Amino acid sequence: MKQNVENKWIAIYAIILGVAYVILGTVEFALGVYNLFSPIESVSLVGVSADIFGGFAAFVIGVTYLSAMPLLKGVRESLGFILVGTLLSTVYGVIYLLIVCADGLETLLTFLGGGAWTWEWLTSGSAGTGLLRPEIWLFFVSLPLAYLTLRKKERGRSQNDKS
Amino acid sequence: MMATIPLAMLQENCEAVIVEVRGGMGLTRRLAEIGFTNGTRVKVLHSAPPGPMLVMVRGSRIALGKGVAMKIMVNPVEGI
Amino acid sequence: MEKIRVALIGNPNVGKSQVFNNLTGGRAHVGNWPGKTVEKKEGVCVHKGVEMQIIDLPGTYSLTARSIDELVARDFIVEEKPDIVIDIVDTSNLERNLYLTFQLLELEANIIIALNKQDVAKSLGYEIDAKELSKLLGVPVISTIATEKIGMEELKDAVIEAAKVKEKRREHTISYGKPYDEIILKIASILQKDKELSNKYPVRWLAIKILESDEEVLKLVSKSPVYEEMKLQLSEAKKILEEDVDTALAEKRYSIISEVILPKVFKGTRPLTLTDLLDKALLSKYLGIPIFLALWWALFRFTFDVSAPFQDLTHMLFSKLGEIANSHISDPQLASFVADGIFGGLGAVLTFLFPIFFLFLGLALLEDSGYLARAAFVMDRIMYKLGLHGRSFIPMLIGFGCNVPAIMATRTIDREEDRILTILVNPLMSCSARLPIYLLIASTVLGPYAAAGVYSMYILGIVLAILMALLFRRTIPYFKGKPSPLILELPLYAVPTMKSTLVHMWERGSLFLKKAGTIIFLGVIVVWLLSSYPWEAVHQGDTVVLENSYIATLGRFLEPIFRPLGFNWMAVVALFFGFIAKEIVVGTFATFFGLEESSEDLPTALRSSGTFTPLTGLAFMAFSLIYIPCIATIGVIYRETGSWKWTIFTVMYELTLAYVVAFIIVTFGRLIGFT
Repeated sequence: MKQNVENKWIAIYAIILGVAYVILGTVEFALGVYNLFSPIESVSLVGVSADIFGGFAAFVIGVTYLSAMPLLKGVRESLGFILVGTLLSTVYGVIYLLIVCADGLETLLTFLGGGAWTWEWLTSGSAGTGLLRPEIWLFFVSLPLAYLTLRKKERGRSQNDKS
Repeated sequence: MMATIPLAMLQENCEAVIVEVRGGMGLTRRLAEIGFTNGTRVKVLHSAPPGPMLVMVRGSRIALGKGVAMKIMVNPVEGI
Repeated sequence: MEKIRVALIGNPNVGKSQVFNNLTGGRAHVGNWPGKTVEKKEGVCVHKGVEMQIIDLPGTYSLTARSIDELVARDFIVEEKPDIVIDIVDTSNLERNLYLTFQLLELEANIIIALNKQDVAKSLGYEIDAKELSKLLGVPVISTIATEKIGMEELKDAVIEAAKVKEKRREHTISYGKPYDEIILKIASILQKDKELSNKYPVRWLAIKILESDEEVLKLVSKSPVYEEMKLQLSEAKKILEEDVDTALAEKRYSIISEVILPKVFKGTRPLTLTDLLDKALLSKYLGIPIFLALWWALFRFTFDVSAPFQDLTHMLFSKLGEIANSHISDPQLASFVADGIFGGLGAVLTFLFPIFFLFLGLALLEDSGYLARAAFVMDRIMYKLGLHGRSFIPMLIGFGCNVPAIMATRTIDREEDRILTILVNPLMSCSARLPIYLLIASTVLGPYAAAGVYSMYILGIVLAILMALLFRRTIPYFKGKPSPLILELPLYAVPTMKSTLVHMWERGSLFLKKAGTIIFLGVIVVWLLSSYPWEAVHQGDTVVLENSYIATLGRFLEPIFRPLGFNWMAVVALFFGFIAKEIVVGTFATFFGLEESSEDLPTALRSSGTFTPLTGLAFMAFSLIYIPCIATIGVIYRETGSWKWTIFTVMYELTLAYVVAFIIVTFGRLIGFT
């Protein structure tokens, strides 16, 4: 049935995102812990920042997506996990974007106060690696998934209303 | 076969009809006002003891602590 | 202009505030119901030449005498007799909402039903026949979608129409069947004989309440001349009736709703909703709490990091103003007063205002979307084990921003013992004002471990709060016993509207601003005074010699108490001013070194003054976390608990705990070999 094929693709999409977030989260968390106990200044790895709580959050988002695996078998309720996953992706994506903007604003203020202007805020700052922060990119990646899942939910419902 | 069990023991996605609400007058009244009255049909949406459970009653979703759910006696309904 | 009074009432989550905002344009006068801690919101709406005074009653499921909210609402309707009561009913939840409607009908209030959230019902696949409902209940029913302002004009028209019908009492009886109807009639006719009583209150309602053993009504009627007669009739009746009269009556109301009304007005089916789908994940046994923690962290990031530039902006602004004052005012004392005192004070207040508003914005989004109730649900299990009510966690969460609104938020906890316990441990939640203290001390003496030091303070606070809650539960008789059980409605998820969220944020934020803001401002002035005088002794030439000021005298006086902890007089003074507002602690240090608060040299200056070693620094951080809540918080604790006893208890236990913990840190550290 067409429905089942669609389900499958959505599920795979979600699983890929899930794995990505889980890996991201683990690395961020590990880097964060390392930073905490080593006397060396902040370490970050190829755009991935050291962030204990942020890493935890990313990990949780990943697990949420992965929880939708039953969808492969056709369990419709798993759609809920995907939706929540995309919601969380959006929350974090938007917040990190906002933080980058806030950093930009700060730079502007320093500049207006007589300091030098730098573009540092785009790649480093309060949100770790600024625009390079993976959560921001993953957020954009999650948008089509969100759309597909919502559409699936609507379609699924109108089919079920034969009761 | 109709066995009366506490709501707390009802499985997720199962439905039942309330037979009796035990407990002090305050609690019974409070539950009655929210819609838990004898003869009302309820459906368990979420159940993960020892945490609270989520129940659909008269069109609304009500979270009940385990202690409360133990005091509502129900007859499970066959099928979903 | 003709003036009428309109009360708004309804279940929680029905969109009452939205209707209120639509009618009044969002301009509300917020205060308190006299003698109660319940909030009272009033506004004005002018329509077709009529001025409507809109009073927002607390959201309740019923009108018994059991909770303050219900009593306030009921008393208002019975005693003040508003011209119209708008009963806002959630169409997507009709049965339960009609329960309150029935209570209002019995109260013989002049009601109009606003059948709200029509859009939600439709999206769920059903509709309610408003005309039929109106016919059955005998009152006007207006369909509305408050979030889109649909139906508002019709509602206002209906209010004016209904107000013209001057009889403020409607005769509408709900039959409870035998033997209740007879008994109610008998009791009512007895009460009828007391003209004073029957002119003021609907006697049938009184009779029903008496049967339900309603405390307030019984108290009222006990003063009546017909009391004895009524009591006789009542005991006769009790012999025939079942034990649980009030439950029986509640059931009867519901059976009328579901068997008589619902079949005639409900059209459609009820399928699986988006809400249930989302709840699968958000309430999941394993993911529920982690997701909550992830969202909580996001809220934090939003509150602190996104508001940072705005904070700096205010800081810059006020420094500039200070400079201008200094250069333009000739008299040095006045200049200092204006620059350091006034502008310094305003700056201090407004700076921390941004995180607060951002926090409230975030919370408003979480609440209006419906998620917050889910959070209470998943946290309930843990809260219960800790001896706290499930709903305690929201005030705890807010406490990380500021304890003042956090303690105000405990009002949603119905049982007083649970509420007070939550209030008592709330100040241990490290509020945002303490962060500058941690940052300063940590960067001064903890070097590369600064971040760890700051994190540990937050964790320390949480751990202590848990320990204290458990301790109080076990040892203080007042708190003995388990927290009251959770009965909480989880509303449907909804996308919050921009306007309502902002209004929500503004309401809470401005209230806090008025209260805490004034105190902090005054506090800074006091600091300025004590640190600038005696003027000549302090200002010798171009330098500021703080050791000669009144503050210093005070510090030295208190120093001996704190010597075991390793705090010198400067630290003591800073702590002393932290009592007024925690924000001032850093400012006090800055003043000591003649520096700006935000100056980068402050940590250096502090380090070279040798005030703190890493060990004593850590102890100081812990002490400032625990010792006493700022004066604004103390004020709120008094207001919310209504008793000096609890307020003083909080201050005492915290001072003791702070000393003990700091002492342990210092002693333990010295034992291991730190200085």
